[in-house]
Formats: sequence, C-alpha cells, structure tokens
Amino acid sequence: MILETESATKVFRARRGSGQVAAVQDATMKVVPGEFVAIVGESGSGKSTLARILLGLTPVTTGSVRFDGVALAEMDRAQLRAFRGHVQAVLQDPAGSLNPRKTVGTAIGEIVRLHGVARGRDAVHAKIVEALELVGLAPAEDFLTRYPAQLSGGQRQRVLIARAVVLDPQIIVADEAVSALDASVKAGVLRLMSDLTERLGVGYVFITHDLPVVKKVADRVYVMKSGEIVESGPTEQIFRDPQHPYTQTLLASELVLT
Amino acid sequence: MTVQTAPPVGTIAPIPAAPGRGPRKPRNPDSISRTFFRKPSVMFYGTILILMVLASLIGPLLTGDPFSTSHPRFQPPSLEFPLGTDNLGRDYLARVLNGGRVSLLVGFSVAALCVTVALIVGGLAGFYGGVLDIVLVKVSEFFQVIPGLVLALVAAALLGANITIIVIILAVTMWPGVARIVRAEAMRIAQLGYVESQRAAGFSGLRILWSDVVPNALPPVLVATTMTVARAILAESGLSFLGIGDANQPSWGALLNQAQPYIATAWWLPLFPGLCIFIVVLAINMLGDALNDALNPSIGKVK
Amino acid sequence: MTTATPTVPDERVAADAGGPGGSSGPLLRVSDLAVSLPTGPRRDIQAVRSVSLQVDRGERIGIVGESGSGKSVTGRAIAGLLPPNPRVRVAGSIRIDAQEMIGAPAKAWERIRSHAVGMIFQDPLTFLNPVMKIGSQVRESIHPDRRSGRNAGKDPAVLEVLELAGLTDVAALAQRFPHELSGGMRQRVLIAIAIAKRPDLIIADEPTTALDATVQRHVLATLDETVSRMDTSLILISHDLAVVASMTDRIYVMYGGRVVESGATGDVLKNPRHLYTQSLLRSVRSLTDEHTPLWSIPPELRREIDALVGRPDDKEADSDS
Repeated sequence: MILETESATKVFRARRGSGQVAAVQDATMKVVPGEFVAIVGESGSGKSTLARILLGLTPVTTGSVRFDGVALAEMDRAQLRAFRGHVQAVLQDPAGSLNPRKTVGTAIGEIVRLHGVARGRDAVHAKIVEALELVGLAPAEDFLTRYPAQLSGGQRQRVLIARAVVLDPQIIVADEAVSALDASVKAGVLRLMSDLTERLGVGYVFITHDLPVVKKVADRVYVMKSGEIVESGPTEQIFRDPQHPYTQTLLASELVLT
Repeated sequence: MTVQTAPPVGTIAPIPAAPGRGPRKPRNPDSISRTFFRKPSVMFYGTILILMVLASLIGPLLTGDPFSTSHPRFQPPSLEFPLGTDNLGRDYLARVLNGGRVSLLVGFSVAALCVTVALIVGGLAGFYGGVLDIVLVKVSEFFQVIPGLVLALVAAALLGANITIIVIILAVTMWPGVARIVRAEAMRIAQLGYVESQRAAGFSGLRILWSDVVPNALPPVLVATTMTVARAILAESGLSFLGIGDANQPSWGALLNQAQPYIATAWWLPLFPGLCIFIVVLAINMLGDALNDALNPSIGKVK
Repeated sequence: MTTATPTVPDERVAADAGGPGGSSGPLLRVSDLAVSLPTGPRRDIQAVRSVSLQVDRGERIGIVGESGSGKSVTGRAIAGLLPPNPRVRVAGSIRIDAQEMIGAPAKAWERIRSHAVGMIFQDPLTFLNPVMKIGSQVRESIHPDRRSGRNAGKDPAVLEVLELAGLTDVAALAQRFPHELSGGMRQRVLIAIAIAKRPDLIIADEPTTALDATVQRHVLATLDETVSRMDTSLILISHDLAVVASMTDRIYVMYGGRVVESGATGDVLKNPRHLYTQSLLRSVRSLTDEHTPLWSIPPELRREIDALVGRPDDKEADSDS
C-alpha cells in the first residue's frame, strides 16, 4: 500500500491582490509501509504543505496523490474513510494537538469507534489500553482519565502516537513530531517510533528541519527548498555525498556537539 | 535502518504514572467549577439568584390569588400583606411573585434561544468560513439592525402581546451579539492543532464542530449568555413599562407600569418590582463577571 | 558518584567585598536563589530551589537544562522580569554590580534594566509590538521616556544599533513592522533592542530555538560578534547543549531547580561529574552519533537523579524512556 505523489503542485492565492504562491511545486515522492522516509527543509520550504497533501487535508492544484494506486481526489466517502484508517497523522504538539477538554481515553476511544476497529465498551477499552501500552504509557488505566494539561510534553507526544497507532495504520505522517522535545525525551520518542516500525511494520513520513535526527532514523530523505524537492536518496548517500548546493548548505549548518 | 534498539523488541520500558496513586475519577484541572464555585461573590450572588428563582417558582403556590380583588385597596406593607395591596386590592406579594415567574421565564428563555441560534449560526460561519461565513454574517447583521422596539410594537399590534411573542422578538434581536462571539471563537479554534488532527483522523466537519470546537468555544459564550439573561429581563421590563406586555400575566416591568400613577401615594407599588429587577440583574451581572474571571487563564507560568 | 560543586576560583570569592561601584567584584552574583510560582488557585511550585552562580565582566556563561529545570525562571529572576503576581516568591540574593536586587523597589529594577541588564527572549513575535515600527521599538529601548515620535527611523543611534546587530539596509528596516520580517531578522531586532542600552549583561533565553538551523547559525554568530565587540557579559540559556557549547566559557547545568554541575564548558562536556550531566550527554550524543543507539534516561535512572538532587514528588516527572 504505497502512498505517493506525482508532480503534486499546490498553489495558494497570495493575500494581496493577484499573485500566487506555489507552496509546493512538482513534488514526486513515495513511501512504503516499513520505510522511514524524512522530508527535510526549513520554514517556507513547503514541507508541511506536502505533509498535508499526503494526508489528504489539502487538495492539490495539479498533479496527484495516490494511495494503493487510487487517487485521493477520486475516492468516495467510504474509500476516504478507509484511507484515513490506513494513513494517520502525528502533528506537532506543544499543547495544541490535543483537545484540552478531552481525556486521553476519550480522545483515543472516539477514533476507535469512528473506524469501527472495535465495538462495545469492553472491546474499545481493551484497544485503548493496548495502544497506550504500546507507546510505553503504563499503567494504561492511569492515563485513561488524564487531561492533556496533566501530561508532560513527552507523554503528550506519546498519546498522539498512540492515537495514530491504535488503528494499526500502514503509514504515519509525523510533522515536526519531536522538534519541541528535550534531548532525552526526543531520543525516547524516536526510539519508540523506530520500534513501532519493527513491530508493526508501520512506515513513516517524517517532516522536520532537524537534520541530525534524520541521519539517525531515516532510510530515505527528500530535501525541500522553496516548494521543490531539490534532492532525494538514501540517507547515507545524502549525508555522505550531497549533490545539491542547498543540501550542502543545510548540512554545513549543523551544530553538533563534539 | 540505522538504529539499533537497546532492549530486545517487545520490551519497551514503560512510563510509570506518578507512583502511589490509584485510579482517580477524571478531574479536569482546567475545570471551571473548581475556581468558580469557591469565589465568595459567586456564593453570595448565586444564593440570591437561586432564592429569587425558587421564590418565583414556589411562591405563587403558597400565596393567595394574585387576581382576587377582595382585599382592601392601597394597604401599605403589613403583617397580613407583606408587600401591601395595590390599587385594585390585590395581594401584592402574590403579584410580585407571579411577576417574577414571568420576568425570569422571559429572561432565561430568551437566553436559551439566543445561545442555540448563535451556536449554530456562529459555529458554522466561523468554522467553515468562505461563502457560508459571508452569507451568515450578512444574515446576522440584518437581524442586528432591526430596531427591537419598533419590531415589538408592530408585532404587538398585529399578533397581540403575549409572552411567547415577546420572547421571540427579544431573541430575534439579541442573538447576533452572541453569534459574533461564537464565530470569533470558532475561527480561532479551527486553526488549532487538534482540529486538524481530528480531520486527519477521519472525522467529518460537523462532528468536529460539535465535539471539539463548540465545547472549547464555550467560555466567552457562557459569559455572554449570562449577560443576555440580564439584558432580556431589562428589555422585557422596558417593553412592559411601555405597555407592550401580556396584560394577563404581568411581569415586574408591567407591575412598574401599572404603578406609575401611584408613585407618590403608594410607594410600595413601584418599589418592590423595581427592587426585584435590580437585584436579579445585579446578581446575574456579578455572576457573569465571576464566570469571566474564572474562565480566564490564571497567572502566567514562565515556561 | 559525588555531586559536583561549583568551581569558583578562590580569588573571586575574596574579591567580593560587597562595596558599591567596583569593577573588582563579579558583575553578577546569585546566591541561593529560590523562586516559587503559583500554578493554580491554591498550588505553588518551587521552580527554582537553590541556584548560585556568578558572572564576571566580559564573561560568557551558559545555563543548560531541560524544560522544568528552572533555567528560564532563573534568567527572568535575574532580570527582574518575573510575573508581577503577589504569589510569586523570591528568596536568596541577586547582586548586580554589588547591589542587592531582591527586595529592591521597582525603580531600582527599572534602572538596572535600563542600562545594566538586557534580555533577549525566545519568541520575537510575542516580544515585539506588532503595531509599532521597528525603529520606534528600538528607540524606545534607548530612550524609554521619550515619546516615540515620527523620526525614530532616522535616529542615527537607532540605525547604528541595528547595524551592530548584524542587520543590513537598516534605514528601510526601521520603517517596517515586525510581521514583515523573517524570523532571523526579528531575532536580530531583539538583539538590537537588548544592546541598545549598552548593557553590562545580556541574558538570552533560548534565542534561537524557534529558528531553522541555517538561520540559527547566523544569529548565534551575530550574537557572538556583538557581545565580543561591546565586551558585554552574556548568560546564554538553552536546552540545546550544542548551542551553549559553541559560545560559552563556563557552563551551569540545571536540573529540578538546582545547579547540579558547573565549570569550564570544555571540562564539563568532556568529564561530566554529576549523574545527570553524564546521562544528558549520553542522550545527546546518542542522537547525533552514528554508532550509538538512541538512548534516553530510563525511569529508574530518573528516580536516582531525582533522589540525588533531592526533588520531592510534587510534580510528575517527565519520564522519557
């Protein structure tokens, strides 16, 4: 079940008068379940827009985005819902991606019910607990009744991942999922994500501006600048032998602790 | 994959919750009720309001007939007639309590109607934006500029003046104000991360509006609604004072109206209904203020 | 494993005679600072438990810690910028140029902030007034009493300071509004505002966290140059070890409201002595080093560190593994 885009272009009308902004231009990329793909770029590179295109949250202006061979634009409601079950999102917290008035249990449970993954109170409950334990939030019962404000940053990120994982998706699109976290927490969440790939066969589209992280966890990298994908390839190759001048600049700006 | 995980697959070290605490009933730390109900002003004015409501609901069952004119006229307040009697010899206590029923009923009904319409119109406009927003805003502007008084006069002339008509008229003129607040909140919340996450999870727009946007939009809306109750009571009193009111079920305003000729001679006739209006409106305003304070995020944390 | 004590050379201790107006003593000396902040109608939290540090003239120190360590609160306390809430409680001693600031009246703080201490915050968007031109805001910093007036954009002092902060085309820039600038430029404007009053000390709280990597590099370089050129002291607060390591002479590591280790930056990073510093370094290195598997601090180790630091269970620990 491949998630891919072909020559996807998204044009926004600029706010003043005429003039258009191409947030994403001619982007062709794909991700396969079990793969960890990173999209790297700075602010304004269009990476977040591309993420939303992949999730079907933003329609493309031209080009196509396809899942399992079917274009999103051509899916009917049932197919779209199935699509959402297969491709989930983990968007960046802090404190914004979880409804402050819903408990963890409610937030995860409603997704389970929506997609009919389990029916009946007990089955739903079991599924929620399973997801929470999978992301390392234990004892799960304790977390069911917590509100986001009662969780730490790392715990909230794990809840977001649990929410994504509970449907057993093929692919998770994570937009700056770890950028706001402290070093140790970041390492923990990243390790969780790659563990899940091994255990569940989940594929990731990991959008970030944080290069060192990419080197550590990604299989393939797409580098974006001003809406275009300027370079792509296996992680090792990109880091060892970057071709495009922008990629080289990015790599040179890394501040690494010696 | 360049990552080697240290523990074998299948044993991710769990994150413990705070040790030593058993399962707890969910308590929202943001909870309005925690901060709200403990405030002294809430306890004071809340009690007053509740007493007034209770008095209006139950009182009429306990006192005499407000229409019976068998008592001596123009009696000042005494033990037998705690609020005196009026120009036709009716027990004023009974009349005031019944008047309370009407005034409060109008106030709360108008507020309920306003909030319902405002949530629907404002929510849809703010959340969906675009053409729907433009249309709905125009609609609400139309209703906002209708002069309530003129509308009331016309309606009274055409349809007769009874409580239902008055409630509808007041609601029709008052809902746009609340709707504007709902719309602003909906617009703000629609940008937030969790709304987008819900979309990505597969929920339909309407479902998100109902389940995520509206509950989080409530704080300012609640405050506006309490104010609407007070304003509706005052507006209804004004209308009654001008003669547009249900003659058979006089509200406090209507009583004030009827007491006009006797202000100098029978002081208790305008005093008690006026006092009741004042107390209820004051209490509601104070509660609204306290609610506003309770709902505002408290002290800035530095992080 | 012993807890590290701050490595303060002996001469500095002796020189702190406490008299006013001396360039003999340290510019800033914080002793046993404690700050308690309200977090709810009836709850308070000890954001800072006991922090002691000092900064000499021209020196650059870094304060490193995770969220919740109290580093930001410490920075704000030194600048006198804690929320003006009666429930905020500060104890200990903060001596700026030998003047005791805790308990000092607001006017004393204003004077200090107007010429001795400048602060750079993390998020320029919240700090900059969106309806005021850049030039006016910089001018406000130089002359807090003067009404902004029209000609702030032409004031040579304003333009000079903007250039010092590494901005170009400053005449045009001074006429723009904050939202017209990029993130990096906004941050440089913050630097300009901070240096405009020629302070003795600049406190920068996560100055580049919100920026992209390339921009971050440039802004840090600007900060570096500016601080060198003006011979200002610098306190750089960040959770990013790499950022702090690149720019500071000495470093304080904070955890749970306390300083757990301090010393010359190079030393601390090469030979960390405190359990927390060692764990933190291990985690940070695991993120960037190809051959080390990702490592985060496991709960048992967290608890051990908590016990070392003496942190009671008043707040749920951010467990990360």
